Amino acid sequence: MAQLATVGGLAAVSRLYRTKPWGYGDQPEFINAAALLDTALGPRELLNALQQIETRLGRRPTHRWGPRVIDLDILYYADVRINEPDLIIPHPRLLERRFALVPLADIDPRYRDAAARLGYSAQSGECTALMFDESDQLIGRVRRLVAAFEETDLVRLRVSEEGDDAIELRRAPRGTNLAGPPDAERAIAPGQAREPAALEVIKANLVGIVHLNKPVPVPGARLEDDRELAYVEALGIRNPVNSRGSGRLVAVLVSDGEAVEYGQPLFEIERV
Amino acid sequence: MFRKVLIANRGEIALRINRACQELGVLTVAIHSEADRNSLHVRQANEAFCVGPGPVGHSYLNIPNIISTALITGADAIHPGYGFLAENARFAEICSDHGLVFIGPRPEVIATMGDKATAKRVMKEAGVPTTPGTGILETAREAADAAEKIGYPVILKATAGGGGKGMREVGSADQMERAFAAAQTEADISFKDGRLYMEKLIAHPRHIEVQVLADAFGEVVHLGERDCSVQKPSHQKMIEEAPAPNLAERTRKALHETAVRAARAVGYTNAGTLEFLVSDKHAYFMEMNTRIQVEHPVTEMVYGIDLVKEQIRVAAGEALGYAQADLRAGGHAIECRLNAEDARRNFSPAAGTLTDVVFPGGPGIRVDTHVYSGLEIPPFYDSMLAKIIAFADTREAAIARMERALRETVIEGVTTTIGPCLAILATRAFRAGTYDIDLLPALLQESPAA
Repeated sequence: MAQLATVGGLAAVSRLYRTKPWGYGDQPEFINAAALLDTALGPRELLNALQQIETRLGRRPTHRWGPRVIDLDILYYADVRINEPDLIIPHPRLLERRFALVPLADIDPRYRDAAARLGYSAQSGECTALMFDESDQLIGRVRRLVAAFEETDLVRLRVSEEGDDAIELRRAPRGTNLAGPPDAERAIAPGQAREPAALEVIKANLVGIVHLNKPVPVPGARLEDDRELAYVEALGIRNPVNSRGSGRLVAVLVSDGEAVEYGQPLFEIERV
Repeated sequence: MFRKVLIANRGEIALRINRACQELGVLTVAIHSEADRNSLHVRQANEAFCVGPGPVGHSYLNIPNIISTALITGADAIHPGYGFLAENARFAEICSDHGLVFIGPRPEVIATMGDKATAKRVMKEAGVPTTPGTGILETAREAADAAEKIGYPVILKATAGGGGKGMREVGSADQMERAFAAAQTEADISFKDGRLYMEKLIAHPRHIEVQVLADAFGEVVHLGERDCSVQKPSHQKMIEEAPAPNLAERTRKALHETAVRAARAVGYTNAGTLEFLVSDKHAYFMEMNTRIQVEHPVTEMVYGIDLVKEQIRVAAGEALGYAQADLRAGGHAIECRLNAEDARRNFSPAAGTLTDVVFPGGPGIRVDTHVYSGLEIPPFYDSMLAKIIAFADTREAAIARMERALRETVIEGVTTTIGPCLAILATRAFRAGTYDIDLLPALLQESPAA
């Protein structure tokens, strides 16, 4: 999934499924999953990128999956239809392949009926797709939340459903050189202790001239809620830069009237 | 002359434009994606701005951030290079709306030439010979009817096309429906415009193109032709040379005159290229590229003219200062494109880190590249790593020089097209200068590993 995230944004990731091999029983079990990718690559470029990932992962026996070869398929690509010797989209056997359809139904409700038609059920004896046990399901759920969280600029996300423990995700902003676990490992399981204060860097998301709000925010200042700290002027439009929540302003990294590039750090904020 | 130029591109062409600017005493602003932070063009420009993340839609095609960068850095002009926004008429228009000079022809000319079916009609009206063909076809049925009249084999092409995308050869009526659907889909994906037209497929043609240069005062000159017949099955060029070998003088002269006439007919300014298919003594207009081309160095070598500098001078409102009679070509130049591609896997691009890179040198060798040892090739962009250009007095000496240069070249870490280029140079047809666009596809059939 980390490799996939290099070719586009992971919009959704299914649970992981254990699939018994067809035919030869002495093969190890397969693990199947589906991901929804938001990518700027065309279908052929995507195929090439996936093949490169396969090569990259296949060359070294990986610690996690053992010596297994990874197989990445494009199941569908928006509404595109391609029928060429080396690339057929949508995947021609998609509707017959339980191990593809079942994870897909997880992330795309349009395929739930088709999955049901194949007689998919966790109890069925001939069913080859097996759901992980309860704890694995939870991991799957956290995974999907993390993937969705990655897509946003949110700093904190708390999800609670009736009868369930709450799941809370937090992050320090990307690109900060702070030591610490990557975002994905920041997921906090229910009942776990709260995180210590994190430093967040607010970055410019476009190219323009930064104007600090008056009175100019000074390091040490307490920030309440979503306070506007500055705006980036680009093509005559004011694009506000907010504190994205409360905290303590640690540093102002730009000066008033400075030209800033995409991704340039503007403010450092300590979340309490 | 401009004070400062923004270079809206990456890779070797961004370096090429930066070099021209530096020599002209013009300051430069590089733009780059987050994935290209360690690129040479970022280091060599006077200023550099990150305009977005790796995928091109968010960075090198991010018009608001590119224009904003030009405005806040005080650039006077934008050089688009090739690819990305180079043939985007809307972008050229937006530049002018913001008081920035787009280094290229006027937006209307880009739009006319960018729509291949329109370009063909305009050229036909200007008396330029075009391949027998059709206007926009709505359905496979209509295409099949047209093909009966023109006569098989035919080729379906995307009107918004380029780079070999949305093209399908059709040998007989029973293949039409499938080919039409495939070409339409590919065109739709690649250009967001699925409209197709049809041309008669010319058997065993050569791809010969003519470089033109025009200023704002109506002076139009040509800088001879380039033979770009060594193409992958996807129609992407691999090896180009100037002048075209074994071309009848009458045909050569006709091509040059036709190109100048065509450029005049559309009121062309700046550098441009007219592509022709040449079969026997017949030359048919294919399309016009309204930008600098990848293979421009071979023309620079034989004419001793810096095309990128000329682009900048003309865009700044200077007159060319010379006429056709003042131009003289001499010697022979060949260019090989070294791509991070695997010829055995249908030239699929290979990403990775370059572990060891050594480029050739010595007399008559020019290397245009942006790569170096340790560079990680991001997966988002074109796979070209370098262009090797060999120049000598004669074609024979240029081939020997190119072979020597390719053998000196080391690129470790990714699969490259060095091997395939050497294999092509070694063929009897290339050495004799009697090849056509079927050379490389046929070679791949014989020995897929080339």
